[in-house]
Amino acid sequence: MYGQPRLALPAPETHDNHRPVDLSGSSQQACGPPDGVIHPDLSVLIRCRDGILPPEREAAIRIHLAGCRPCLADYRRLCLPPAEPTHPPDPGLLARIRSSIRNWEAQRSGAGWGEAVKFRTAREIGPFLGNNGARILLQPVSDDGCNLLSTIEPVLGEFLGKRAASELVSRVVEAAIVRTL
Amino acid sequence: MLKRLATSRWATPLVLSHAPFGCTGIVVAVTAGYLAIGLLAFAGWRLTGNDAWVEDFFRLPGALLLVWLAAIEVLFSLRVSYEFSPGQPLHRAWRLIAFSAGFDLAGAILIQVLGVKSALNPLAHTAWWSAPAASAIRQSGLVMGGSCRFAMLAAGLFWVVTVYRRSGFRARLAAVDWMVLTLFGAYIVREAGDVVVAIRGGVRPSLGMVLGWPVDPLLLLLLGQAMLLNRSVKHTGDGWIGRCWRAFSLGIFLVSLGDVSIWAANSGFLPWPWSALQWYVWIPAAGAFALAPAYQLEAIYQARGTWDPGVPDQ
Repeated sequence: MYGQPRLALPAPETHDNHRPVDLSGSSQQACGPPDGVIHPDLSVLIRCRDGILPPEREAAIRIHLAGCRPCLADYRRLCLPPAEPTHPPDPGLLARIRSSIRNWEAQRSGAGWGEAVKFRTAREIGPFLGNNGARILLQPVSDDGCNLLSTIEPVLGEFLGKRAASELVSRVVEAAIVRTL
Repeated sequence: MLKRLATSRWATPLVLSHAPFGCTGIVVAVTAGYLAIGLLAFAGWRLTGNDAWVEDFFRLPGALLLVWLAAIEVLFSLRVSYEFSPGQPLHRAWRLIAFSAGFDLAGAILIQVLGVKSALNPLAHTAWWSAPAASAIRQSGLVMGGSCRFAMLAAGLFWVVTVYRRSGFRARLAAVDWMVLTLFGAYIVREAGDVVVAIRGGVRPSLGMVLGWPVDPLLLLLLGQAMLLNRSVKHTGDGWIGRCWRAFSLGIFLVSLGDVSIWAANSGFLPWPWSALQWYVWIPAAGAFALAPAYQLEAIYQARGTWDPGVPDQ
């Protein structure tokens, strides 16, 4: 992953005569690898590829790459052109997502949306709390349903434990909100 | 160590919690089956006049059932307690209920196994065994399965009632509930009066007897909590969570009934041999106490969509 210190690989024989040299992108790297060589991380290799490192750093990296096969392999992979997507891009995908968002917003602002969500939520949590218990719990939920989850999750957490409540609430969201879009 | 025990894989086959119809079905089936066999034994005794039918039932299969149900209650209560985070009221409640179940298990082992001369009792085959020793073992079992168990249970149910109140689900007691509580209170006053009369008559109560005195007041408190929870569950409607507290309510009601029936039999209000039927109250009562945490576990696993206990919260 970019920016993460890379695992220091054993240096090849050509490194034996090198002095320890900091090639990493970060000066905060506190512990050095056992072979005494700090290998450049991916962000440094990318900057080297893009030619935006100071000339003396770039020269040091190039010397290191000449002697370090794993770093050279990484560098070569970075220099490859991006792979072509296996499937052609779906031209209608973005339009469909935008249309779904518009529908959801229209439904949400329409009359009865909050009631419908409360009804579906009551159907999901009723088997746990009892039908009347679900109705009592959902009474303070506002018409737009914006405080739905903050109302039900603490109470379900009290009765079922936080982990079970959180998994139940995920299912409630799936069944009562997501699937209706 | 308790956590490892409660959530370990070996405990799963013991309680059969992976069965397709859940652990509650097995507890109900086993309890009902034993109860039916016990009642057949009672019928056999009445028909043949041979009391070995009933005696053998309670010495072996009956004793094993009561110990097994108490062990199930401990295991399930511990497992439930690990589903809650420390600081949550139901974490405290289930810890106290698990302690209560632990006392129940210890009491069942002492009273049903170690305090009786039966094939199950390893102590009965030693030179140490004697009638006074058996009596002392049974007495300590009664204290553990009585005062200690009910005090812990009452403390646990206090937190449950608190959660019901905070969530707005708590209902009020009906007039009939107040009537039953008043009658039970009158029974306690009557019993206390009998104790005072006996002491004035020169009876010196043993330590075991004195330690058993809190049982009836604790049962009154538990009966009040059970009725409150039962009304609250009725108020919210039938649900997986409510079944757990309803099972506790039933267990407490049956224990109270058994307690009163012992007094009624000793006072001659229940004629022999029909008074012997009161022994059978303890089987469904133990089944209800084992069912309660099983229902709670079912509710939690239903919410998580899995029967796998998984990694506990803590």
